[in-house]
Amino acid sequence: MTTQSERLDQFLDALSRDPNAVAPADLDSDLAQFARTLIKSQTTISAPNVKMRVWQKALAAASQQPNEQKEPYSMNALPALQPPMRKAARMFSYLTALAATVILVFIWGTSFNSLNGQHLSGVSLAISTETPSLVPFSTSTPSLVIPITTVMPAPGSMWVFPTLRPTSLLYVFPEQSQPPIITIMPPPTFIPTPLSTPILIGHQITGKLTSESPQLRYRIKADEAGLLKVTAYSEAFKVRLTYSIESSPQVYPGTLSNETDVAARKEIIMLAHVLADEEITLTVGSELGNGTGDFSLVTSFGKVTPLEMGKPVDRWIVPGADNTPELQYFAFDAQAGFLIDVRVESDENQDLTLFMQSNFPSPQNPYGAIRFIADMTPGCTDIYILQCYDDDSGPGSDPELRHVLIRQDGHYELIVSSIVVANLASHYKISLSSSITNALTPGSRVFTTLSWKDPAVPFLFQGYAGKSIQFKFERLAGDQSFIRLTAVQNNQTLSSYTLTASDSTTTQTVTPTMDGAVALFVEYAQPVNQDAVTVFSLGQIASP
Amino acid sequence: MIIDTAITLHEQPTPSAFNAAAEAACLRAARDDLEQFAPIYERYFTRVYAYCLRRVDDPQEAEDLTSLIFTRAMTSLDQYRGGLVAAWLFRIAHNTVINHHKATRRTLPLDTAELMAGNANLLERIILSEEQQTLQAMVDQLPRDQRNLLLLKVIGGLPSHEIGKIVGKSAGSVRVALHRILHQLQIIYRQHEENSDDNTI
Repeated sequence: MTTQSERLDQFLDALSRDPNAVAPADLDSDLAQFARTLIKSQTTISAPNVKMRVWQKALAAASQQPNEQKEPYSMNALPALQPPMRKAARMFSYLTALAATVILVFIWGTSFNSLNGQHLSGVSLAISTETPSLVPFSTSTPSLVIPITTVMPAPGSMWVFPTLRPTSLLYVFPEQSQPPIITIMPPPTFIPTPLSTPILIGHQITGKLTSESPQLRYRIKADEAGLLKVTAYSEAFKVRLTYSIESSPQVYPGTLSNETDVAARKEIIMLAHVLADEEITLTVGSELGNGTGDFSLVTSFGKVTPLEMGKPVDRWIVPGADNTPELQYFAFDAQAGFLIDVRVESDENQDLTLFMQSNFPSPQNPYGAIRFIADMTPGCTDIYILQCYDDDSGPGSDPELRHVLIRQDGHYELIVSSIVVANLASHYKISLSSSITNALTPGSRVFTTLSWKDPAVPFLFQGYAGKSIQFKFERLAGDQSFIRLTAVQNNQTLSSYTLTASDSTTTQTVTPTMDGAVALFVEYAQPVNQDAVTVFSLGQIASP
Repeated sequence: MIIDTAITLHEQPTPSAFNAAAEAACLRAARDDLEQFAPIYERYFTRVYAYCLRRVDDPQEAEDLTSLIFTRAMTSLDQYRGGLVAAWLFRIAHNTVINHHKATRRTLPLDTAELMAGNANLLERIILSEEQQTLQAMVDQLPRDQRNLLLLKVIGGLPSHEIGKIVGKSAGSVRVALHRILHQLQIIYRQHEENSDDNTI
């Protein structure tokens, strides 16, 4: 028996083929007549000469970008895919470029004058254009000890996870190989599915909590190292996941509970590192312990691709079955004191999302071994996620993490997923670069700025155990907000000092506890206005 | 009259005259010679353009988007994996329009956006009958996702299961949503007509 919605659907399909199609007798005649009128109104358009014009444009553009999807992805080819710019837009972009040039010239001159201790009035607009407005000063100092595109080797004791194998973990486009297999083994007393059933990516298993069985337990074992994602969902109760990772000889226990923002969805998403042959035991229960009803567990597994500075990686992404977006994982090691940029450049068949997270231990996650993503949508917040947004700040609608300050030595992961669920494969390129690194040597000095857009600037010093480093900070012009200077090494704070609004200069001494880089963060210690800019210099005083 | 320039989607060849096998053959041939894409363009241009026009409310933007969509289609022929060509094209169209909305929403000041919305489609609005204008205004007032659903159906002519694949919903929920949308529009339209009658009296 068909419903009204099905009958209407059939009628709409018929109308799209033939505007005079007869409505089914059992469809509400008023609604049928209205549908006919509505479709007529929507399908009559005025398009004088458009058809030929568009064909010529599209054909010309497509001829410049031949149909060669199997060729290596080239971002240089992207501009050919941009829509032809209209005259008004073209004019606007010219004007914008002209205005930017004028402002830059203005700033250049103003910056020179301001370094005599005067305030920079009226220059915030230009400085916030992300242009290196103080280039002449920065380049005059022999400041860079470390090549910008090189990640300094980090202390070995920091690494919780083993070094990534460089080539064996590459993700292969699904057409060329089967997806990785993980094995889910429910203990015999809680068997919703047969033992040792191989589960493919995106596979869903279901279970039911009852008053007799208020918890169900599953063991998940990975055949190889990677990231495991588990989504637990129930319409009937708020899910509580308890986990333990059995990694001989240690066992890492923990519990994940729903956060407020996802409570309504009664969904919890867990993301965990797993090593080859490592087992995770998951216990599904309810928040209050007395919830009953059906639930589902969806698992997916992704190998991790190491990402190196300056070496972009090309990938295909295809949203999986069951409307589950595919996730792809990348990882890199970085040391405190770097400002990094992560860019994703896609061919825009998909709207891609980029997440970045780290493995730092916390009271909720004492071993740094497992993380919880609150929600795979823009605007999510979670204590384990260092950065989390899809603000499309890159070109077009591509996501980009820009000027992310690395505050701790550690292992960082990037997750690329697709927002739009569709069957279209999407090609993208992900790249990691270091945008600014100010490395100081004895006797060198760097002039730069803090701003509301970049409220923290890192510096690096070469440190030797027990040998003091002396540096001088000088506020030269601009915003008078409190500024904090924090020196760290090996994820330990060596010193911290805050300048008040009336302070302009301080000289600090730090003593490294080991050989290796010392990072100094210069940052606003209070919220600042949206146009705030502070010009300052930082120099390392040469040893006598 | 200007109405001479209006075209309707139903001027396109019927499926029997240009069936799915012929479409697939065109796409295969177009891999070697883009001119072979012309019959597909001929068949779907109006639908794609109308879809863009209804989504962006600006003829020039719609033209640019249509051009971009067909460019992408012609450069992504290898990604066509069988099935309805219309569904494949409208998936590209859907994603392109979404990206366009995202790219423009941060660059247009509010007053500019309002200005454009106010003047958009002026020529078209003149030539439409009053009834069509009313209906168009009602559709324009729909939330973006509802409008998209409706346009994929009435302009794209896609089956509900294909729309579901594009927007990430089941075919059943698409059918139910469409039924609700039409029912709501019908109620609003009826109220509008009653008010018009009252004013006339």
